[in-house]
Amino acid sequence: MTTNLTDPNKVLLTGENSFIRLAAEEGGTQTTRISHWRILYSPGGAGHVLFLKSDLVDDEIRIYSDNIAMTRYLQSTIESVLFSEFADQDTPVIQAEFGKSGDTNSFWTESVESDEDIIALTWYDFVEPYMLTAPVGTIPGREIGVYSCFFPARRAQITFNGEVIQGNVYPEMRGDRVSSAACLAWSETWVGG
Amino acid sequence: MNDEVHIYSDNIAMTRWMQATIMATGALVEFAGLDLPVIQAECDKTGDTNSFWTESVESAEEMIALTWYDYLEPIMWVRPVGSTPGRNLGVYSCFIPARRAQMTINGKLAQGNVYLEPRAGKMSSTACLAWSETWVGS
Repeated sequence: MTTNLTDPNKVLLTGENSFIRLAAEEGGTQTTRISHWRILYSPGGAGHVLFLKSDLVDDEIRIYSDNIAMTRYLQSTIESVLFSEFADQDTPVIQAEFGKSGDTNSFWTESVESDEDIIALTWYDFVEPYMLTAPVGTIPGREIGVYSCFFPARRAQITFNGEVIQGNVYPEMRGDRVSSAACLAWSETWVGG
Repeated sequence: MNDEVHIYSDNIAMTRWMQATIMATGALVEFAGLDLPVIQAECDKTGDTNSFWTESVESAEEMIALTWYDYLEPIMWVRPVGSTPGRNLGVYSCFIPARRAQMTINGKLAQGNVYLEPRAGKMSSTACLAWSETWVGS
């Protein structure tokens, strides 16, 4: 007999949330942090958003998106829990176009282009993918849960208007899985409420 | 089509791998025959989950359009390895069920209706977008 299971919570959104966190040394302070979302379904619609904080831009928070409604929803529901600095609704949303290229055998690049900035995020040198399952209640006090397929990369690069942002990716463990500070996070669904 | 199985793809290597690993173990075993020809096709998509979603498939001889609309609340489907006895695969997926759907092949409408069906306490249907789907196994 098959056990059919559904998460009891409401689906908040589904899509991707790939990230890169750079530091000058292992265990050191993050000098750059990006959170890139490709949303297929949310109450604010579909689209893309890039949250960026980097010493290259004096640690100012930058938000680039092709859907401001989805971005504001994402800030209030998810980023407010993940990284509150990205959740400020007063931070302007810079209109941008998004593209992608590559594959998980070689490299993957997400590109973001606004009137003034061209940003390329590249992941490469992948380790084994794994399924992240963190239902509501996994992290005490957090009332949202997530399911995602992580492709950790040993190396990544961010260019901002042609300049390579300094810093390195370091490995990190998630449970008993080898992961890193730079992961493609595909097939990601957030639940809660 | 007289119940003949057709397979359309833009990547035969991926298709054969998927037949052997996923299709071979479930209810869709009819789709797992590795001797079935894979018809080269271009695949595209349009729409959104507020209105309608169409997947289009175009080969040298056929044009197929699959359309889902009139959606229900999305569901997170969680089925780890071991949920189904004897099946060494698991799946996680975000289902967006539709009350209605339509399929056309070379402009001809396939007959039949979509029906509602509950899935573990959630209302679902026989026509779902299944996005962010990951299969796992040993």
